[in-house]
Amino acid sequence: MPASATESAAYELVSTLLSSQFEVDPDAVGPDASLEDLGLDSLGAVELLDILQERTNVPLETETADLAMTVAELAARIAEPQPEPATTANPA
Amino acid sequence: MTNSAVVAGLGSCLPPRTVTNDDLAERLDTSDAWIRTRTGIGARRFVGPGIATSDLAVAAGAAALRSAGETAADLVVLATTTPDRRCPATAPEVAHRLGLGQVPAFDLAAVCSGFVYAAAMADAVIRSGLYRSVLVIGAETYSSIIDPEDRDTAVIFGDGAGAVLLRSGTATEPGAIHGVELGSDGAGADLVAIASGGSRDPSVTPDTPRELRYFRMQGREVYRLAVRRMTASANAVLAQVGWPAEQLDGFIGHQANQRILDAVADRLGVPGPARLGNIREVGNTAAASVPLALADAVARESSIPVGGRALLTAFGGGLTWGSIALTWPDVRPVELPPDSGRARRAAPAIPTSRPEPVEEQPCPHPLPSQQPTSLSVLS
Repeated sequence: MPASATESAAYELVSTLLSSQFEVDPDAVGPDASLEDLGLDSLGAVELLDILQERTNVPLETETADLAMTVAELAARIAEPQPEPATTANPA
Repeated sequence: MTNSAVVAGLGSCLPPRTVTNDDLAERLDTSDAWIRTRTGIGARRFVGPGIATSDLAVAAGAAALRSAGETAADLVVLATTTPDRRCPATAPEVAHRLGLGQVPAFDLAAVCSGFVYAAAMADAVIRSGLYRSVLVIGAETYSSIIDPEDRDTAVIFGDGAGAVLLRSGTATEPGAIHGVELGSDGAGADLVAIASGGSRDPSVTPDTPRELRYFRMQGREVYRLAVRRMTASANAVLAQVGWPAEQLDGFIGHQANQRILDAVADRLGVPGPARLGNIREVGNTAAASVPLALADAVARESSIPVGGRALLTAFGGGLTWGSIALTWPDVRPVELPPDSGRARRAAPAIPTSRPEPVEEQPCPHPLPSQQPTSLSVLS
């Protein structure tokens, strides 16, 4: 499966979760919107990453739940997981 | 065999001193709004100088006995992270002060899961026939172990005690325990800890860094695991007894953080009216939180049918977790003020004032009277 298609599926998943479970206005969700822009706080980011991890089986360390991370950056992390997630800094 | 452990009495004790979010914001970089949105906590209770965990435990235990109309119990189990002293256990003194004679009594340490662990053990010894009644107490004075300068923990924890008298009965009675599920994962032992002061690192001096001598918690990871573990544990016990989460009349999770409780209840599918708790008024009281919330809910929620289906679930340091399925008890909870019936011992050489007013206290917990140098001769 091409990376772009995977990334686009990941983007869809993140957007859907944000509007369905985090009360984010779907119109506000865009690739360049950061989690903070969308009204999440640190615990919200932890929760989002945890749900994504459960859904995708991609390890997403909660300690790297950075509120400045954009939806596109998060989708990219899910689409192309780093080999050593425990020690890898935010690729963005 | 139809023998079951049944809730016969519920008791609680909260120290009178209320500490509001605004009180904390006067000396910490925080605000009422910040604390409320991230934790759901509006206030918590702190003991004053001279009040120990046993004083809260005795009051809650006496209240549970009075609630049950009893004056005796065959066993006392005290769940606590903050015993009066590192040695001996606090439970025998509590049993003595309650006038229970020479019944067996011991402390159980499972941090915030302590009460659920203790109630599960009590259920087992009652069903086995070993004892007919067990007084299970969760009592804590976290104000003695939290760092008043650590915003992550100072705003969350409070002091208090809750107790349940369990007696032998049948599964069809209201308040009967129908199933339990417990677990632990020591791989996460460092996530909730007081690093120093135990046998691993006994030396605690005024020079010991604050993050080693006070209670610390890695908030993000604990948050994530608390949601996952309580959800999984609750699902396991519900499957065991065959109760769908959607049909619960009462759901009481460890009052750790309202956001955690909401996430767990959402994932389980617990109906809104069944979600009960008192975190807004008392904060996170660790091992005392589940019995305090249960006593509060039974006293307050008259709409919940006696005999309705209820679930208790907890997660804590260790890591530990556990859940109990029971039916809604037919009891009237009793609340009592901290017990002051015990004559104070001669004051120890080092003042036992709590960390809040004294910034550079040598060691908040265990009590400073037990200096590391004396530990080698204690046993």
